[in-house]
Formats: sequence, structure tokens, C-alpha cells
Amino acid sequence: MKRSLGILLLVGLLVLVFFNSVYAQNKPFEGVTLRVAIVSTEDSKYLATGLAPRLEKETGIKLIVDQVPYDELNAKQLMDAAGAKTYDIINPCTEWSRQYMAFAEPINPYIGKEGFPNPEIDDIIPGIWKVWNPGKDIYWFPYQPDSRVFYYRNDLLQEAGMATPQIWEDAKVIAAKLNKEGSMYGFGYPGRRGFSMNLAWIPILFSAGGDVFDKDLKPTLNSQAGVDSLNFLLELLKFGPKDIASFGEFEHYGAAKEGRIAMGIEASGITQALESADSKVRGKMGYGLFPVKAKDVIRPNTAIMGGWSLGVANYSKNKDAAAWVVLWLTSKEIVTDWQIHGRAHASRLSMATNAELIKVNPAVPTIVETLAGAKLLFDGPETNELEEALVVPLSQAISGELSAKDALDVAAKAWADILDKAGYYKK
Amino acid sequence: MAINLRTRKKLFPYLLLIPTLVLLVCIVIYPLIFSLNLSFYSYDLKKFTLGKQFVGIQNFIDAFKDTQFLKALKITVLFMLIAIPIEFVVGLSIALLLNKDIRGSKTIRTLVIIPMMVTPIIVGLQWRFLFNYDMGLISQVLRVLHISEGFNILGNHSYALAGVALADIWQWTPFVILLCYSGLRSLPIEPYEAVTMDGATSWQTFKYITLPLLKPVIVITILLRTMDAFRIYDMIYTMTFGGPGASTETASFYVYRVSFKLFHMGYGSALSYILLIITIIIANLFVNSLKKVWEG
Repeated sequence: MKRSLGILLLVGLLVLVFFNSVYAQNKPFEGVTLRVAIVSTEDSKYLATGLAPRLEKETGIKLIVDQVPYDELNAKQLMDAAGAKTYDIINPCTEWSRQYMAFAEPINPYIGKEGFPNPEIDDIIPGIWKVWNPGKDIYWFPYQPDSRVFYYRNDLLQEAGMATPQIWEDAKVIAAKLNKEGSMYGFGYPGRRGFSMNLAWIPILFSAGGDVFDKDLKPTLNSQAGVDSLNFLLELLKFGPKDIASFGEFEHYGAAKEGRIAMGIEASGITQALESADSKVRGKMGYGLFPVKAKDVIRPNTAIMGGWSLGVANYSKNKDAAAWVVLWLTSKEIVTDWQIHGRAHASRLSMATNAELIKVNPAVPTIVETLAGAKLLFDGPETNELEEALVVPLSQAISGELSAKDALDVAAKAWADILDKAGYYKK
Repeated sequence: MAINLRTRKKLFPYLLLIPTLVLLVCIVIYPLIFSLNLSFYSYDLKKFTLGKQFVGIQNFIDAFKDTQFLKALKITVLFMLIAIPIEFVVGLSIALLLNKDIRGSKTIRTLVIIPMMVTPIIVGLQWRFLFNYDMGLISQVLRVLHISEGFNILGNHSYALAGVALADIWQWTPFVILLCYSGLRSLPIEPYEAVTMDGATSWQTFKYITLPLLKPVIVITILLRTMDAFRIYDMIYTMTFGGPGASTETASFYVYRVSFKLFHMGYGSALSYILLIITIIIANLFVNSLKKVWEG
């Protein structure tokens, strides 16, 4: 009897050891705690409340999500990298991605590694992948690419018997016709001093056939196309909010959602707001590229590419687990779920045609089309400085303090000085 | 080695001081020394892996050639010239009124300090909404009264600074009221009795008795408001972000932009020290004038 009991105990113990080892293989990072800094948006909310608990349940990895406002995130991550080194997973937007490579870990060794999620790189929209990872080393996995979109009220255009604007003149006629003093603005634009103001003007510059640099990297903001595009924007703004120079993204999203703007240009994030359940214009919107100056004008690009990705900090004490989480979060299944519950943008080809995602945000195909022709403002760590140097003169032009030509002359000179100081022209 | 009771008694106060000293060293003295040291380096946080290069006083020299910084200083002074006199005149007037012990003055005294209790970030947001052309309360009232179609102050480069000053006046006039009121309450009663006997008018009493006696309080009030207004940053951040153009970019906001948008940490530290030195000079001027008042 005693002997049988002993054998039974031994067998039980062996079974326990076996299952424990199988369990451990399934959860190799059980008990690991990781920290991620992420820009505070609908995406970060779902990461903190939906995906992080799921990750912990499925893998045993505890993910601490620090949701940081956009204006503070860059400083927070840079200071952390230079000092405390607490973040395992880092979150650059496109313009910071080049400088962040200095403290990011290449993810190449983990791609295809046994036990690690398959990133299915072929499914990531090629233009987006190329902008994020131009070299051999892979640092970033995008989860929410964004850009600027031109939006318009389909219902109002139909009521007025007007077609979707194709050229500047069409847009001007529509803005003038739909503008109603006190109740409807013909054109909306984020005119408050800030990067949004810059980035919303650049698609208009492209629509005039202009560009930000020539082939020698000399700024061409003040080219004829540049001046024409800014003058055209100022003309459209006659049908825009009267306080345009203090009319920021916040005001723009609100007014457009309330149905007080007939058409406009804004960050693609506005599409999710316009199609949200509490929007008065849900289902009434049309989206597209900004109309070109004239039919024969070929735009060199559609917009400036923006958006967010995840990477592993090279000072992380748990690089393997961090890489696993980055690959998991940006994998086909998870990132699709993330975007359906988050900002509703597409980073993958399969997402661009995903019916569930398009149902949440009908602008997804337009965003993808815009992203396909979008580019980086500048491929280097000076992007922030260039943006800052454009902010003040552009805001001065919008508020009427400077003419379009004078403002762009100031900005172009400032850009040339920044790049000269950084040594780009010596190269 | 045993310490005798007398030595223990002598050491005890120093022991009690240690926690405060440690805290001061950690959160005040160390950052001050660190940023002073940083101000002599060229340090770009965007390229922190390259390290920092010693540049001596070059950052300080550059500051005086930096037209944007000099313009920001001018805007700061202009802001102070708009806000502080109004805060002072309105604050002193209300304090004089409250000193008359009018009906409901206790309630007014309580209500009047509410704006001071709100953080400047919230005050900025609140005034941004109030000033909103479409939905703001001010615009709505103007529309209802058929005075104007709306009120555009923050979007106008000529008036945006006045808009920020208005928010500052709303928040900090209560501070002036509080100080002046407590000053008025502590004035001796005898001079007032004497001038009443002599048949002085209210204006004469105010000009020859109240104002001279209140001078030390006035100097301190203006000193504190000047130092605070010189550092204005939070309201600018939420109300205008320095715009339109650079029309509301104050010196502190410019330092923020250099340090945390452009990440030129060395240069940003040098600019901070220049602002600190200017603040110390202003404080000294006021303290000297206070001394003269006391001696007079």
C-alpha cells in the first residue's frame, strides 16, 4: 500500500514538473515587468486598458504604460535615455525616429526567432516600412501611421449640386458658397501656432507642384509655388474662422464634429473624430487629397508622413522580452484589434481593406492613399529645429503680420542656416 | 566615545535641520549647480550620445546676440507694464473698499481669493474658452447685445498679449487685494483721527496718510508681482503657445522652447541664468527702495 502511494506521488510529481516545464516554455517571460512611454491618444488608452491586461494574461509580462502628452513625450524619452534609463520600449513619431536610433536596439535578431511573434513584414504598407526602416537594421515597427487629409461635407456638396473639388478654383468656389456667417465656415485649418499648422500647409505646397527642398537640400519653401500656396491658403481662410491664429487642432476637431465646417485640411486623426458616435457629421463626410492648383500640376508628394511606432531601448535590462512585446503589439492580429479600438488608422495592407476597420473609420483608404505618396519632412535629427523655424513666420503670415513672401523668405533662410550649421552643405 | 549632555544639546538643533538641508540640496541646490555647470557647455539632448562640449561663456554671449531672446524679453517687459499697474490700481481700490467694512465684505473677501487658488494652466484654458470666437462667453454676450459678431483677441497679433494680461489680472489682482487689505488693517488709527479733526477730505487722507503709511506693503506687493509676472509661462502655454507669430512669446516661454523643443540644454541653461540674474536685479532695486522707505 505504502509502495503504491509512493509511486503515485512520484508520478504526480513528474507530471507536475512536465506541465510546469511546458508552461514555462509557453511563457518564457513570465514575471518580467516592462515599461513603455507612449503618446497619449485613443491608442494608448486601449493599450493600457485592453492590450496590457491581455498581454499579462497570455504571457505573464506586466506592461506598465506611461501615457504622455505629445508636447512632453520627446523631452521625456530623451531625458530618460540620457539619464534614468527606465523605459524598455520607446515610442518615436516619424520626425524623432532618426535621432532615437542612437539609443534603440536593432530588432533583426528577433525576426523569425523561435517563440517570437511573426511580424509578417510583407503585410506592412511598403512606403511606411521604408520611411521607418530605411537601412539594413530594423529598429521600428509602426502601429499608427498618419498624415494630413482633406475632408469635405459630401451632403452639403450634393445639396448645393457641386462636385468634389479637383482644383484650387473649385475649392475656393465651394468655400465661398458654403460659408455662412455665424453658422458655417467654408474652410477649416489648424491656424494656431504649432507643428499642426506647418504640416497642414505642406500638402497645399505640394498641390502647387512645390517642394520643401531642392535636390541639393536647399530650402525651396519660398519658391513661386510656395508663395502661391500660402497666398491661396490665406484666401481660403477668408472663409475660415475669424480667430484663425488661435484656432488649433482642439477647436478644429470640435467645430468640424459639430458640423460647422464645410471642408478643410487637418491631421488624419480628425477622421476618427468625425466618424465617432457623438459626431453630428458621421457618415456625411468625404475624404481625399488636397485639390491641385491646376489640372496639369503634378504634386511631388501628397503630404508629410507622420505617425507612431514602437522599438526597444538599447539600455533595457529585458531586451528579449521587450522585443517580444513590440513584435506582438504590432503583429497583424493585435495591431488590427488595437486600431479598431484605437485611432482607426492602417499600418498594414490587410488593414487597409479590413471591413471592420473601414466601418469604424471610412477614411482609412484615403489615409492609406495619402501615406503612399507621403514623405518625411527631413531625414535627420534636425527635423524639430526646422519645424520650429517654420512655425513663427508661418503663424505671422496667417495672422496677417507678414506677407506670404516675407514669411517664407524668413523660414527658408532659417532652414538654410540650420542645415549649414549642422554641416549638410559641407558634405 | 560618549558624548556628554551639553554637546548633545548643542548638536540637537543641527540634527533637526538635516532633513530640510538634504531636501534643499536635492531639489534646489543640486539642480542650480547642475544647470549652472551645463550653461558653460554646448549640449544638444537630441544628440546626447555625442556628449557635451565646453564652450565657456559663449552661450551667454550668444544670448545677447539672439534677436528672438531679446524680442521675448521686450514682450515680457510689455506684459509686465500692462498687467502689474492694472492689478495694483484695481487691487488697491478693492482693498480700500473692503476696508470700509461695507455690507457683505466678509463674503467678498472669501470669494475674491478664489482665482488665486486655481492653477495658472487651468486659468489659461478657462480664458482660452472664454475668448473663443465661436463659442466663448464673451463673444456670445457681445452677439446678444448686438455689439459685435464676436471677440477675437487671442488670434490677433496686436492684442493677444493683452488677452493673456487680462487672464493674469483676473488671477492675481486678488493677491494685491489681500496684501493691501492686510496692510490697511494694520495701519495706526491715530493719524486718521488727527486729520479728521483737521477737516481733511477723503482724497487728502488717502494721499497724505494712507498712501505713505502703506508704502512698504505696496513695494513688497509690486516686487512679488513683478518677479512672478517676469516668469510667466503656464498661461502662455495654454492660451497662445507664444503666437500668433511670436507676439506672446515671453522670455520664460522662449527658454522652454530652446530647452524642451529644440533640446539645446546648455544654451537653455544659460538663458535661465540670465533670467535669474535679471530677477535678482529687480528684487534688489525694490529692496533698496524699501530700505529708503523705512529709513524715510
